[in-house]
Amino acid sequence: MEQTIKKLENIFKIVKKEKGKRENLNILEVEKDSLHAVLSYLRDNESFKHLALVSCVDWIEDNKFQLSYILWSYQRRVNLIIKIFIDRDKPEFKTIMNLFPQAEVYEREIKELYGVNFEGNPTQDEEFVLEDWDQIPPMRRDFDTLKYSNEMFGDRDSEVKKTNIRKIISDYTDEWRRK
Amino acid sequence: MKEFKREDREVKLFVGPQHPGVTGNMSFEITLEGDTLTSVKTHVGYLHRAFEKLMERRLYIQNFPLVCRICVPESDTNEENYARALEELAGIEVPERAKWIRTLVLELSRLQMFIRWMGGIAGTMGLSTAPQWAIGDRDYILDLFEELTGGRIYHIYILPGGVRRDIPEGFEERVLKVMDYIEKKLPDYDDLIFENSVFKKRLIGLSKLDPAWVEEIGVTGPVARACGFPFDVRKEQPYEIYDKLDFDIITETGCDMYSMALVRRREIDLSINLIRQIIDKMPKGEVWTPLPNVLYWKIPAGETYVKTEATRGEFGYYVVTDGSDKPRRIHVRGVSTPHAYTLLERLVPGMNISDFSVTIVGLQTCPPEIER
Amino acid sequence: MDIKGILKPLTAWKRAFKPPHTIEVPNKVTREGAERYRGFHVNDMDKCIGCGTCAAICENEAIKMIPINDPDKGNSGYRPRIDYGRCCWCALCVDICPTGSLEMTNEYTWVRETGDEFIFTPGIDIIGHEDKKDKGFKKDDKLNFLHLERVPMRELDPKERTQTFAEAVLGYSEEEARAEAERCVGCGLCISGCPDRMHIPDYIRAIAEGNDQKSLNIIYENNPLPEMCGKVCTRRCEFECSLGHLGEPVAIRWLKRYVVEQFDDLKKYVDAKPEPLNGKKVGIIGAGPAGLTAAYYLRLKGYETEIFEAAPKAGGMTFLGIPKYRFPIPSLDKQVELIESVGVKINYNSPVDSKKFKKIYDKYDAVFIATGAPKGMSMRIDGEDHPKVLAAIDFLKTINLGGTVDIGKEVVVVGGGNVAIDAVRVSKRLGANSYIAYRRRVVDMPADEEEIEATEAEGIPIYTQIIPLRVEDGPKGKVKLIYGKAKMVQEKEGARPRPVLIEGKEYEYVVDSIIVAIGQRPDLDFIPEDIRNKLEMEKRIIKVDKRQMTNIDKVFAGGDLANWTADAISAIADGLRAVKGIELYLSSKK
Repeated sequence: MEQTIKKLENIFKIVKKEKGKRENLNILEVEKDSLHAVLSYLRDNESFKHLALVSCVDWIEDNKFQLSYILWSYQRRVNLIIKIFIDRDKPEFKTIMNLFPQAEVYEREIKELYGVNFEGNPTQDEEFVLEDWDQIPPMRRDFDTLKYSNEMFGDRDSEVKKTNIRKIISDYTDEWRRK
Repeated sequence: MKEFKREDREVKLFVGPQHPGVTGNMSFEITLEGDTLTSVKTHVGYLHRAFEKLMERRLYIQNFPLVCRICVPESDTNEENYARALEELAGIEVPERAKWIRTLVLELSRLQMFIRWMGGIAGTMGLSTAPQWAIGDRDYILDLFEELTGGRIYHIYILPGGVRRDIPEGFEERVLKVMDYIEKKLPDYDDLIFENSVFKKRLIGLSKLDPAWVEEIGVTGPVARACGFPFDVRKEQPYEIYDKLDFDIITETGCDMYSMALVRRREIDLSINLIRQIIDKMPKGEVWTPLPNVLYWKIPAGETYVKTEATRGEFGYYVVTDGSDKPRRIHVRGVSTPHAYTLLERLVPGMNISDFSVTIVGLQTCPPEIER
Repeated sequence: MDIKGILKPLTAWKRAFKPPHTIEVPNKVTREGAERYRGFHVNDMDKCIGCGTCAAICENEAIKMIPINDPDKGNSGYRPRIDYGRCCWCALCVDICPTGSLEMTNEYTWVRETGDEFIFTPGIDIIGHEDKKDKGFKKDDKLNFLHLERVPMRELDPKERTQTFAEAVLGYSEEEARAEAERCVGCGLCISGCPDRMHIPDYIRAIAEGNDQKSLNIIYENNPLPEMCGKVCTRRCEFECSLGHLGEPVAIRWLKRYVVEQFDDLKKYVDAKPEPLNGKKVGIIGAGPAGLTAAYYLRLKGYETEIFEAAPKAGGMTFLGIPKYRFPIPSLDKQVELIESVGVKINYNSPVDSKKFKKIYDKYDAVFIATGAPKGMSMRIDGEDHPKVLAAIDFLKTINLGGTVDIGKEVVVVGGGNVAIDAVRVSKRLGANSYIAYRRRVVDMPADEEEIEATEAEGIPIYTQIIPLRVEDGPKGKVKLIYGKAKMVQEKEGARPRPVLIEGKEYEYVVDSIIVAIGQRPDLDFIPEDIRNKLEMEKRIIKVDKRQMTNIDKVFAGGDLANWTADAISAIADGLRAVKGIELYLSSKK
């Protein structure tokens, strides 16, 4: 695997190399412009033919979305996660449908749940699981599910709020507590 | 009312969202020319429970009651994946015996799922005797689960660090008894289903795959194995103690629905075999490594992708942690996603409408894992 | 033609003659769930302490704590109520329950007419499953989310430590402290045991997270003598710890000690910013824990505070009474330094007599008396005024002030409290062959369990059920303690058994010194007689209200002379209450 990464490094710019916590897992961060070339190189020359998953992670603190492409080589029995970061304010990227047709659905899901636009994906604007959604994409970290649920459906049982036993115990017989 | 003209040869139909067999609620928009399908569009969303989002606001341990509900009939693969991902990221060692028990649970789960599927595929073709047998026989395995884990469907049994309880006394014998019982019943299923000439007539040649598609669109599990590809996570990346068990990957070469059915039928034999091996070789010892205080358990930042061989294929969890006490992102790779979309769209053109639901069940699509 | 394929399915007909899988349910007897089935909850009310840990782990918020009884020490009075509309039967609550009271039965059917009835409090609301308690999902010894074993504390070897006054307990290392702090489930029941209501779970959490300074500042919110407490506190909190029900309580005292030990110069790390002086003055008599606490927090609030202390050092009994192998002087100095750094003025070596008291009373806007209980109680037996009979408190005081006491080679210490233990361990360190004589049994000893263990480890015998009768002159300048044996009599059900003298037989210890440690009492001679006569007393202590106010205008009292618990943390709590009381009193007076 190290040889493959070396070869990759010779051709492309690898931003960051990480070793997974498991023997056969490697994580590579590449520049977003070279992603298509990296993926097609890995698929055609290095036997990483199986794209298991396309995923998105919201790093709201850094104002970035991480796109992860999880590859598997049946011959070498190695997992490779290729990741790129895109701007969270302008969440746009290009589809990889031409390389891996099944990515169409994954991208469609990411479009709906994170609002990342995949240029070239014809079905990404169709509804995937949500219907008539009028809020921000729900998997973004700044979408508050509890608040939405309370506003939308009302608080089923306002009593079910968690009781803070700590506070009750501290307050008990304690009118002279300093704080 | 729109006047129907002979020129409007194409008709659009909605199938679902009721269960089109034993899969779960999903709907299909199919286009017909006569009774021949020309295209299909899959729609999910009827079972969306926002699990991935919910998991991001809960403690690691609190997600166990959630993950097991991602694929209802096969909860253990979810627990296994999630637990293994956390163990990997947090660096927790699992005691040897716990690994064996986990494998036992996973195989029992696989077995009951395939038995249920046997009933399902026959049921979709109108052979309603089979589902009744299957549900009845599957219940004996659920009884075992109840005894071992305390729950019949949602086990919440595999936790990071091991399993929740040790095997109760005499459990091994009862497992073997159920295995004997099921093995005795299997020839009946063969007579009723797999050697049934109607079943064969309908399935042989149905939904014939081009083997090139398997690698192209990421098909896994029995579907890939029916095309001769020896793809099985249990062998290619042995988790728990699969490397200590003696078995071969089951493949067929027909590339059609009947081959897929045969793969699954042979998987039942394999599971029974594996369960016997596990019970035979299971070591003694601890079943649990203590976790840190679960109410404040923080896992160092990192990411991993773990996978398990579910009945449908490669079931994966992509887990990203950020060092806090809650996961940053958990993405579940539902096996059925490529099957129910990309593969189905390629299989459908030219298919007879009566074979459509058989195809869906034959691919063993499971919408809850597509939408989570 | 596939004849076989057509005929074979027909063999299914043979099943028509077989019994069905389903079972008939005769006479409303249902199938029983498995031994570990996760059914409905039951809660043992005798065991449940209402710690709320079940509610904390419940991911569905199905468990809500509702008030049932009045709160008590170590028991919040709340009990979990379960909403089965939310419950998913994961039983994580059962596995984390610190007392093991919450369990599940193997019952899985429960029929009611309305959905509201599916919200119920197990143990309070009877639903008819209670008798099936013996089966169902129970806590397992092997799988435990709780960490029941304490990180052991390193100590000096008992043989080595009897030779020296160096600290016997070594304190946690960083790793040990983090591991110990990690055990806390954060329920907060410990707070109910602490007289000072310290924010225990918060500072323990901060330690577990590696933030020692945050922890230090949380501690300083209501305790200006944390290192003292970390070393010698009576740790009432630990007896209420929810983990103590099935295992060992969290070592709260050692954790506090760990935190303060991490900082040599507290002034740099404690976030103590005194407010500008507001012109009001408070005079404090006695620089013990109560006096120091009141002075420190009053000064932070902008009052000018001045302490009058008879001893050359602050600390009161913690300086004079507690031996140095438990509480070394540098630890004390570092804390007093911080208190002085915020502007508290301490007059050392200035004992207060009745004349001075009058002056203080006139000069200050409020007076806080915290002179403690410096006088040893007597055994009330003949010959007690023998020169070889010492009061333990005087003995310890002299040693701590650097003096010497000729106790000879053999010493008997009468008493079973912490002071007796201190006295006997100190005399052992001075080279005497010393032992304890106590009226009751070892289990009845009021001294701290760990202290008793340490004493035994040091090879000090504890003789029990001994009732001193009289003191006589012994041979060769020795002294004789004549005593009788006692039998324990259970007079009332549930009451502490009482030692009763077995008449007729007498025994004796022939020793060089007898140290008496059977309690102390306050000394109020310094208060002018006219005030003292008006001062309302409660037996031998001063009576105060919940603001530490006495019945004399301007006068507040706290510490050992005003409470019966007579330990440092109660004194600190008194001091803190006095701060609020004085603040309220002075702000209302204008």
